Amino acid sequence: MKRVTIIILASLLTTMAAMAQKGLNINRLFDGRYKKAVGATEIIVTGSQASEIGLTVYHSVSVTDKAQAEIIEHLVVKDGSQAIDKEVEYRNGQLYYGFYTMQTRKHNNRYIFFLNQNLARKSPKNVVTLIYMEGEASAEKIKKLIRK
Amino acid sequence: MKKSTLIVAAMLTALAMSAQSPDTVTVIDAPNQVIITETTTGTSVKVLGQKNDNSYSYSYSVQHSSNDTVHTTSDWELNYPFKKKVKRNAPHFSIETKGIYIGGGLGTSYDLVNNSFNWGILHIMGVNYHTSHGQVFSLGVGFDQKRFSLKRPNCFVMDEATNIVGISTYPDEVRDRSSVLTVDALQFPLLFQQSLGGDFHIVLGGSMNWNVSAKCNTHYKINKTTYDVSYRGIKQHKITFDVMGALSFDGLAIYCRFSPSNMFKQGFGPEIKNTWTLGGAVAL
Repeated sequence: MKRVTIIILASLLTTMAAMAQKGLNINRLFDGRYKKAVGATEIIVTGSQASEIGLTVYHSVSVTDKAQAEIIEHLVVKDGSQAIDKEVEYRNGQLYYGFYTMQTRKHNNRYIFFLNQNLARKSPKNVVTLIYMEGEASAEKIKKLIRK
Repeated sequence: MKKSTLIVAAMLTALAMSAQSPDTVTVIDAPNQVIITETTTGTSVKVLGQKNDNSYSYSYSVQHSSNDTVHTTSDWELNYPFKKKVKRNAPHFSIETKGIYIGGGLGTSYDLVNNSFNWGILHIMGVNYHTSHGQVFSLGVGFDQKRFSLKRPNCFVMDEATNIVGISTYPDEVRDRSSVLTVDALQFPLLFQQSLGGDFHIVLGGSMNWNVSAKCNTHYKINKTTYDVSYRGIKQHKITFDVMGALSFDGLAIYCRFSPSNMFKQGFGPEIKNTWTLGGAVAL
């Protein structure tokens, strides 16, 4: 029973989060494909936990698979071209990080963050992370939140 | 950025200077978007839209030469706001007080026992050993009291010369009668606790009881006279053993305890053993 409840809740959260990203190319990445993928981590947060930091949706995917990383980067860059504001850094011809502010949706700010830690200089890690965030939080607040 | 009324491309100048090429000054009035991209091979600036001309586009790029000194940005140390911290359940010891319980008897081997009652505390002080897989082994010292009352019209009596406890009956026409055997013990429980997921735990274990005192108390009234007779010096078994099991949820538990040992030494009282107790516990 507990397992069924968890599956239903996870499906609902995925649906809600997927709806939030509607109209974005990265939307296709949040179809649940990473839930059971080896070396991938997917975190979906909505509700009170998210609202504590001024968000209605927080959806992140981290992958270690190179092919998946390339797909993510491609879609992020595609969405990034529609951004109303962006902060990007390329290293070795590859997107190292990108922070994109997208058009608001229902008065909510929308942000896409991408980081390829393979390209870090100090201690590279085989992880590529994509985070989609939506809410009233400002870009500055979001940056503070996701940067150590 | 969009509200800027004028952008003087000083940066472009600097970029151009760094590339040892002629100065480039471009004035863009109220740009809609400015994109600066730095790579290890060069830097580019792209400006999209300007005042009264959304289709305006300007781009400029400079490639680094081999003599250039490139100042690069630091790495982005990512903080995952909702990523669960990995709990490292390293094996460790802890000391705690736990297991206050109270229960009623389900039955004993002795037919004349009407009911029994049991309360105590498992660990007044105990040492726990937590494994890395959610199990807890604990050993401690606690207190336990067992009480056995007899069915009417039977009552405990003791021959004070031999300290042998026997069963008699109350005198005729008594009221408010009760006859209870009470055994107090220091107990030394050894317990094993296993997590069942969430806040559920199962606790299994055994206890060695050092029965430090025992007494029989027979109480009754005849007319207006109250009789309260206590017998001490009872020959109880000094050491007995119990086994118990409990199902706990967030510290609240139901427990079952079995006491196979006879309360009295052989020949010094009725054989009261195989006592089952069911009850509730807190902090377990």
